Amino acid sequence: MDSKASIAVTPPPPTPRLEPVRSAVGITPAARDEIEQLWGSVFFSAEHKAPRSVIVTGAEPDEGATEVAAALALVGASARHGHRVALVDFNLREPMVASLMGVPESPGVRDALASGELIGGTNVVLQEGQLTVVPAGRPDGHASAAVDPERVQRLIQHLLSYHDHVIVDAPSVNRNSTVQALAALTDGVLLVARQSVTRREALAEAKKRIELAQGKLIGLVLNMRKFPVPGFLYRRM
Amino acid sequence: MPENRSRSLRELSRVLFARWLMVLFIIAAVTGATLAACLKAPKSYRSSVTFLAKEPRPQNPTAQQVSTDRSLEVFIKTQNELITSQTVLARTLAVLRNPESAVAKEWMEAREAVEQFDKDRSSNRDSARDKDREAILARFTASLAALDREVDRLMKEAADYREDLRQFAKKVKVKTPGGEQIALSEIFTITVTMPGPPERAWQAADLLARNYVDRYRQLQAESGGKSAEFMRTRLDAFKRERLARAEAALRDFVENELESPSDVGILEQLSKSGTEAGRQIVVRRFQEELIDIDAQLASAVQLKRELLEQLPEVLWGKDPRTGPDGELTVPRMENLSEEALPDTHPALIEAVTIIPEDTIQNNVVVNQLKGKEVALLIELNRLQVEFAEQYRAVRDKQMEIARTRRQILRELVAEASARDIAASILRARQNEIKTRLDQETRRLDRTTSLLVRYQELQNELAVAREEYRRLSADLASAEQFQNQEADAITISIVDPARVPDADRPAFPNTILFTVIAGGVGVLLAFAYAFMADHFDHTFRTIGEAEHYLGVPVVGSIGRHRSGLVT
Repeated sequence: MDSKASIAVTPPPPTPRLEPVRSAVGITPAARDEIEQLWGSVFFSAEHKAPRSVIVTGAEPDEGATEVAAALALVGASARHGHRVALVDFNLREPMVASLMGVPESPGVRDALASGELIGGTNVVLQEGQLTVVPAGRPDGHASAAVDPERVQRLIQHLLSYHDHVIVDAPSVNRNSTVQALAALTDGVLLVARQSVTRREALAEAKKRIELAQGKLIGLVLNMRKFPVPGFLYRRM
Repeated sequence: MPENRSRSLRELSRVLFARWLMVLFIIAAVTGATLAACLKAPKSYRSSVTFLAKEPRPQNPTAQQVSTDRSLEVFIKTQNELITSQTVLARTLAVLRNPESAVAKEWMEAREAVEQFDKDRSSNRDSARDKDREAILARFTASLAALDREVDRLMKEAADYREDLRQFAKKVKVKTPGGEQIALSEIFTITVTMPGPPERAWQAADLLARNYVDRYRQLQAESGGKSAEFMRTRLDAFKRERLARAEAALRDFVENELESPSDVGILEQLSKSGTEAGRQIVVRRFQEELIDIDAQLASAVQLKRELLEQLPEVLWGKDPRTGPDGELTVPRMENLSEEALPDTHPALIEAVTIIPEDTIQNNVVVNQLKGKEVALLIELNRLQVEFAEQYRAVRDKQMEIARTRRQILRELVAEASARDIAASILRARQNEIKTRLDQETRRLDRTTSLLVRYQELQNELAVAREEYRRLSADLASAEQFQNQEADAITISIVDPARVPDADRPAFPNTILFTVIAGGVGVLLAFAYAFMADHFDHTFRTIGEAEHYLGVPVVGSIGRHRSGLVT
């Protein structure tokens, strides 16, 4: 396929030469403000340098980390922010980004790790702006190859070279070692937790694992937050 | 701190609202289940009878306030026990089980007759109908006895009857408006709660009230009759033993100890006036008589001596003039004969001239003779003037005077003799009285020694009579009481039993139970909510997460039905 990028160490291609895919995917309007806030909290830090590569993961499966990652990428890539954002799916066993974003599954991370080639991902043209999506790749790939840090680092470096931010969707920390492998290679980790579902112990465990892998835990994202007390009552209390 | 308070309030409401579905479900489930159970449960109905206990109070009630209160309390407690007694409950249940049985019908009719009779009689008293009343009462008593036999039979044969009786005892309650302080009121209420149709509760309450009143009357009549019977027996025994014995003892004493029954008079006299005074009264009577006799005797002797001293010596003739005791003796009449004392004897003149004045006054014959002599002397003097001594008329007169003088002398001797006899009679009388006085004194002494014993016996008899009188009065009052008791209904029904409202069963009280179940449901639901929250290990709030992990929460995303990305 001509969408495959040629392996060239120098100079890296300034922009991905991939055939753009048109997608109707967008952020649910009701959630936009919340995601915007999250974006701001993570990437506009007055104290220290804003992280460029961020892993979005959950302590346990089904925390909604993939959606949060996708939503963050969409916000960052939106016309309002205008960042060049790459969304990378490192959930090699149960990839979801491709189907979520409506792009082909391949070429993807798995291919890149297996072959050692650098890939540029798929350029997705959105309603407001564009986004690079690197799906997980063909499912018959080698799962063990995912943990080759050197190739991972190269891939991330490659993507960072022509993107402002790389957002990595990773499998849950407590079930999979991927995050531990990636943590040190990125600027930070965002832990997504579902209110009233994720156990505190699981979160503590995830935090411990991330810190052991020398990753930086940027913060916690509270997903599927509920306000059990009705608003009118809550405001009076 | 308002912030803390509001935070904790928010916390509390969060806990509840976080599981509102389950909370509502629990409340609804508990309430609904109770409601369903209430609607489906077999219903019991309650019927009650209110009584007024009118205590018989013959005295002024305010005079014995304390004891009355106390006795009213005891009375009502007793009624309580009576109502829940086995006999009353068993009779009631026997009738309730089979109201159409012959025994039950007979009882109902018999008591109906009694009540009807009493009602008639209270409006129109007629003592002639007491015989009728006795017959009606006898029938009623017999019906009760038949009912008791039926109860005995059921107790022996019907196991379910025994079980029913146990259950029935639990369904009967006696209440007083004052609660524990039952002496405050004379009202008390029997309440019967029965499963089944409302009519059954009414029937049970009504029958129980009737049976209670019957039992009360029965007991009252029995106790009244017994007390009168007891009093009668006691009175008979007392009469037989104490009274008769006291009387017999007194009779024995009078018959055996006293010499004559007339001594009782002395004893009475003595017990009335005391020993010493009584003795003096008796002795004085004799002494007065003796003194009187002494006086008479002295005058008789004196008169005799005076007479005899005047009489001429010739009258004694050859007899000695004085007796062996120195007293002058009465001359014999022979010495006054014409031969012994001729008319011409000078002694005739001598004696007559000095007749004692008393004798002339007292002795009519002497008086007349003296008068005659004087008249003759006057006549003689006249004759002597006219005639010579030898003149016959003069001599006749002289003869007549001499005869009269002899007669006077005879009379004087007779008088002296009479005095002598009177004196001897008086002496004899004196002796007799002295003897009697001695006798009386001796008798008095002896009787006095018996007086103590007599008084004892007399006293004992008096006490026994008094006691007998008192017992008789008691018996009379007991009999009166019995009559009164048999008549007086001191328990009267204020409110008869009513058929309870079918919509308002005593159990279950649907509204109350449902409300309570609602409350319990709320409590259970709250308990569930807080317990679930306590054991929930997930994190619920941003603050909790930050506190627990030490990591900032950089964002929170709400729940969006269509997901974050579309």
